[in-house]
Amino acid sequence: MTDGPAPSPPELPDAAAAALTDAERQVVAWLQDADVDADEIARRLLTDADRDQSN
Amino acid sequence: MRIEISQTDGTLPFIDQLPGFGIGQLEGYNGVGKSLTVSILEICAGVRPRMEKQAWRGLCQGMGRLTVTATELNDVRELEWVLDGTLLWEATAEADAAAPPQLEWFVDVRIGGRPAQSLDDVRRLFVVERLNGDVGLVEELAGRTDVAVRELEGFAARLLGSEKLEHVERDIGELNRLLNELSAERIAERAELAARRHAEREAAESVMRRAVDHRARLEDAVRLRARLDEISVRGAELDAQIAELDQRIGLLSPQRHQVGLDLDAAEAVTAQSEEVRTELASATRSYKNASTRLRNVTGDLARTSQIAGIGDGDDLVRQHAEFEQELIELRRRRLEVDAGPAVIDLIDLINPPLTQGAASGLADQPLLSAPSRAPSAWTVGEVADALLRRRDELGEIPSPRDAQSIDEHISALTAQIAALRAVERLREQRVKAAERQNDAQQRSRKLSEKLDASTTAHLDELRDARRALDDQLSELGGQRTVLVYRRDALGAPQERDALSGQLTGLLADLGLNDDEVEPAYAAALQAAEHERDAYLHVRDVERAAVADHERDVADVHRTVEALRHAQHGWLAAGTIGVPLVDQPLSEQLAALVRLQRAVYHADDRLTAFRQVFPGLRASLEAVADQLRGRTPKAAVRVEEVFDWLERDAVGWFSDDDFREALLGEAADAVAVDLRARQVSWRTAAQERHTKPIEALSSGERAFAFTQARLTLLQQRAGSVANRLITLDEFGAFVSVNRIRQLAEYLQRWRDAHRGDQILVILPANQDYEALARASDGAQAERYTRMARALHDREWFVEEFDAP
Repeated sequence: MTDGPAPSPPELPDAAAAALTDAERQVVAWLQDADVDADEIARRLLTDADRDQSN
Repeated sequence: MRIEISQTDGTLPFIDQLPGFGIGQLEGYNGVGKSLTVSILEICAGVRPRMEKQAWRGLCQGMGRLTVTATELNDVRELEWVLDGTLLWEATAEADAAAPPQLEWFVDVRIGGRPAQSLDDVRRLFVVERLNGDVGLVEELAGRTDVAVRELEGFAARLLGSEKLEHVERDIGELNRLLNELSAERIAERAELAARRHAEREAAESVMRRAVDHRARLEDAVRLRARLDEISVRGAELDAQIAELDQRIGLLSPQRHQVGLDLDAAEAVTAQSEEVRTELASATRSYKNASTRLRNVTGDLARTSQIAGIGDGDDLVRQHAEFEQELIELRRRRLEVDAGPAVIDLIDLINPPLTQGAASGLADQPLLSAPSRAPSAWTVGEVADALLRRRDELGEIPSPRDAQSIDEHISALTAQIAALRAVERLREQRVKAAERQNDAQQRSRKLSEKLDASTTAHLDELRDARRALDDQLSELGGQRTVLVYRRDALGAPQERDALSGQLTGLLADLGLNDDEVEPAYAAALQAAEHERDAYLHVRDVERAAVADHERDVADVHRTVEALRHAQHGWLAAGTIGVPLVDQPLSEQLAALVRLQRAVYHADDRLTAFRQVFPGLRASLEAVADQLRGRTPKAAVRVEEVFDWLERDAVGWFSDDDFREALLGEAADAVAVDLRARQVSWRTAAQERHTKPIEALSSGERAFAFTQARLTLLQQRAGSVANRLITLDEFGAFVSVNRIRQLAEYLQRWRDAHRGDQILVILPANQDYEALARASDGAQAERYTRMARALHDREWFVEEFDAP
């Protein structure tokens, strides 16, 4: 018997998963991914934006 | 699990004890607190009960202080909550009705005896599911959106409040602020403007130089004409005057020679001794030397006086004072017309030590401080560079014609002042030369007095004649010197042909006739001044544009440097190219524009991301309102939410038990249209059936719907250690003949879900005393116990057993 399990990252609720766009879901996934730090997310946002601008 | 509730100070009743029956039966009269107890347990489980605000207020005001204790649990020894109605109301009065409970709603929450750090920790250990018998399928679907709102709130609060997201926003925000201060488009425009202004300035300078050159050539022509004129007219006059003087000198010179011979002969005859003759000869030489000196000084004085522009008797001191005053005035006017040369002189005076200081290690030391100006401090190196630059700028500007004229005037006046000083000296020298001549004359006279007295008068007469002739010759020599000087200033006569040739060639180049020179020169003077003014204006405009551009370049440089600063260090490893310090400006600007656009776009994306969740919540609420027959507020993702809810509902029907309970055996290909509120499916006979959704959960379908809802619980059972499922208000909707069927169903459920505890809440509408009399053994005892409990405290909890 323990005093409770360790906290886990929040899961995207079904309704949100269904209603968000791919880009929005992508940001959620990055924020939830423990292997992707904040600086890396900022870089990926810029990379995406740069790609969108050039398309 | 076993749940106990102790209450102090409250006015509302609660069920104080729920034993750990796998399937329990809570039965009691209306008003004993059956449903309120479940609501309290929902709050403890981290779910806000579905109730109107008025009912919520009543619950808060009437509950008093409650201590809820859950024991006999899986995964945890004990859970305990302390609730205070007043605190709960204060914490929730202003809160959204959909907001999930927070730790702040409770006086205390403990997990295993220790204070809970988060209500989510409790949610993972303890769940309360409430199935109300009076809730239909449409309301169940609407309730699904309520749950979705709560899930979304919890998720959004954790995600949007995460340090990670704030860190991302800080990265992008700080970069945005840095780049926002820079307008790459404006900088590019100003760079182009500076280049255009530079070209305009060069063109204006070229035009001005041509105009000044044209003026200079015409000036040469004018000067040549004047000189030729002087040589022709004035030169001839001077030549005639010189010739006349030469003639007069030519007449006097033989006379002077003869007087000298006569005097020598007379002195030789008269002198009786060799010693006297020697002395006389010496005195005569002294006289000649003094006379020659006097003549030379007189010539020099005459020429220098001519240069100084003064007459023989003019007062030198007064004249000098006048010249100095005039010089001061000229220099003042020169500064008014053009201070450039004076500033250049000043720079040449102060800059060498600065340049030397900068070269010997002081370049970066602050030299000037002006807090109210920008920049507020200048280093030694910057001041030295700025002075040299200013010197170059001043050197590029030709002096205005007035300034040139004043310069010539100053130059002439300076020469006059110098000549004036020479005149003063020469006047003194002439006086001394005259004195020496006089002394020599006197010496000769005294020697004569020692000789024969009868010859003294004759000798004096000869000497006086010699003196008079010398004086005349000296005077004429001085006059001739002045004339020759003036004649020489005009140029030698043989120069005339050369000057004439020059003038002819110059006029041919200029395309002018001789009589056109003067008006052309006047026009050229005017044109040169006009082009000079135009150039100065264009140069000022260029300077302003260049200054803007240089400030921009400094800004770009600072920005490029800042991008490499630790604050933006994360960017250096990115895929977007960061401009390099040593790149050309155009490439730096191109990189900055690209980065700027990406940052704006990323910033917008992050801002929109934060707004997604409130927007989605509004959409969920709008769909719930629409399902409940209320007028929904406008929202943006309603269609997506409807699609999701329809898929969710279709998912319910994918469960065989659920589908069979509501649609019958062999139903498949179920489709849900929430906008039309219809469900359609295919029967075993391959026929398509359509029904209103409400019809699936009303009337005789109520029990089937209860089964169906339990099935839904199975779908979202997850891995919760302890779950209490309450079936409330079922007595009125599930007919008595179906209760046993429900009991069997629940038992099967319980067998399959050992972590679940089920509590069926029923109204007290059975006559247990009569049932006890009609029974025997343990069943009779059970009914008797139930009858007594209802009599004593109006409710009881027993193991569920359908009558």
